[in-house]
Amino acid sequence: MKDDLLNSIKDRLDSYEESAPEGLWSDIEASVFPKEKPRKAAFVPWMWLSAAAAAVAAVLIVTNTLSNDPKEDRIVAQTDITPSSSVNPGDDPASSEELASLLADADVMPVEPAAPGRVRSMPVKSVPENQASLEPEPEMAAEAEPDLVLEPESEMVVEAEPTVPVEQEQDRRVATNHDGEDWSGYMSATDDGDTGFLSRISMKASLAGAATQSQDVSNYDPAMFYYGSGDTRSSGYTEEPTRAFAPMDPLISASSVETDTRHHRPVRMSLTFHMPLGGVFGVETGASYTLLRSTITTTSGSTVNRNIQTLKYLGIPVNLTAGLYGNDWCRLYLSGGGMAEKCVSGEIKPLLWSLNAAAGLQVNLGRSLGIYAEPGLSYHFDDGSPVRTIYKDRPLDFMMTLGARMSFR
Amino acid sequence: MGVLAEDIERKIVERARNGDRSAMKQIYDCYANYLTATCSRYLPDKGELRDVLQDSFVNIFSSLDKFTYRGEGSLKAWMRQISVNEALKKIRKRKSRNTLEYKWDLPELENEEEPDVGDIPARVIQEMIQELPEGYRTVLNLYAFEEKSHKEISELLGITESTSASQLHRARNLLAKRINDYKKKTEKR
Repeated sequence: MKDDLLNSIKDRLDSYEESAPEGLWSDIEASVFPKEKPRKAAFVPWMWLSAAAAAVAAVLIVTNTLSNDPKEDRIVAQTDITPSSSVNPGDDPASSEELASLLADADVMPVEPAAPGRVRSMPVKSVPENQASLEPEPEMAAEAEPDLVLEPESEMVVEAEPTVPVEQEQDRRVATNHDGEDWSGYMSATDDGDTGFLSRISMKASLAGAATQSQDVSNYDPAMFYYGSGDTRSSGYTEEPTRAFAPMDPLISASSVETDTRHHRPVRMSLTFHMPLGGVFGVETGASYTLLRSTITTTSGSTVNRNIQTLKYLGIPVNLTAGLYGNDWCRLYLSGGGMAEKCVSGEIKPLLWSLNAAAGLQVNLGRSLGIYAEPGLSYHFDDGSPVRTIYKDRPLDFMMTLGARMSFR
Repeated sequence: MGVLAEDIERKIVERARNGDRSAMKQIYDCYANYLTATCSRYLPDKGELRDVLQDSFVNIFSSLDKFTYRGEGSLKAWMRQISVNEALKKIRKRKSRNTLEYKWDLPELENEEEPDVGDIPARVIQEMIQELPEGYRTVLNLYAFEEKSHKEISELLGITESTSASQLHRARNLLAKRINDYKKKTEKR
């Protein structure tokens, strides 16, 4: 290059320097080392330990909640309804809370539950002289087969699928039939807080395997009460034998009303928007859709009424998240927060509030989009409505959420 | 800043080649400002400059195994080559999106008196080059600083050799005029 001007310009600028842009190195570093080492280091053994402890706790609680609380759900009640009192079999069963309140009115007696399915067979076996009176009722003979209990072929089966459960008037009517009677002895005999350990264990074992469905049974069964399926420690049984056996009129026992409520595992789908707060923390919100299904079977005499209750909820969750581990294609995190839900397919007016804690695994589909599965625990507050749902029967329950998440960076 | 002693530089390159983050940081600290000055003569726009510098360093660190150390200054020259290539890539990309902008010609200037740049601060000359129209600036940079021939420039920029020569001539005249203007202005003070 024989150009004095250009040569001198080149020489002049040969070692010229300008300040590099601010933050350039950190950008370069992030590009050259895409996997942030500090984040890996942050996932120290104690976090693994706490994650493992949380998982164990979750499994224990899930097992516990899957096996229904006998005190609340396994209410076996006696309602010596005469056939003429004509309990409408189309009515829905009482909620356990209402049953509990009925107990105070001395109409319904909780009895110590046994393992599912045996509940009703025990009195038949232990008091043979009463089998004759029970024989006209086919469902009473369905021993030890809880799945068949309510649907013998000879029975008239009425099925309905109302979206909104019917008002539970039946129980009020039941309560009024015996206002004049003194059941105080049976009240005191009932030790519904003292559940047999073995029966509890067996329930847990049997229900823990059926994680997709929960079940609870409310029976109004005079035979069961009087013939020993209940707590044999019952003082009422021994102290007032005549009173105890009094309702064992065939006509009366024929009017037994049984309710079997099975809650299906809730299904929840969510669309979530996640914003990082700094460090491993982030906040997220979005929309969630939850489907609750319960099958409620009411048996009265030879009439079986089955209702399938379907409730759909739309909710807005707000959660705080903490990342435990992450790489290009997946992310493991903990999440906790609250949610407000509104029932959109029924007449439940009040909002349903809940608290949620979960551990989630997200698979990234792109830079900002991912799909996730979040097993966790949820606690639902009572919404004050009379409709019986899994949330009411088991406020603290296992919850699996599936969804898609948009992450803003 | 500046140039590292040969032995040290050789070792640092070796460490950086093995993925040593601190060695890469040392190389960056040593040459980032120099490459910033080089690239900003091609791309005065701060945003584009930053993009090009980032791409250049990522490219440099990921290509270290292709680099052969040939004594003092060889690393600097190699890094400079990579960053100029990145700058040209950016310019070509922009041109392909907006071809109209590639109209470089300005009215022919009268031949300027040959100026003396001896006492003009380097920063002022740098700014004068940055203020040239992009076409002039690119050809002048490649010709004067990268010592490319018009043939090479024509291939790099996708223009003819005569266009390259014409652009250089105009760029040189424009620069000479600005230098003379600057000198007149400073002499008056």
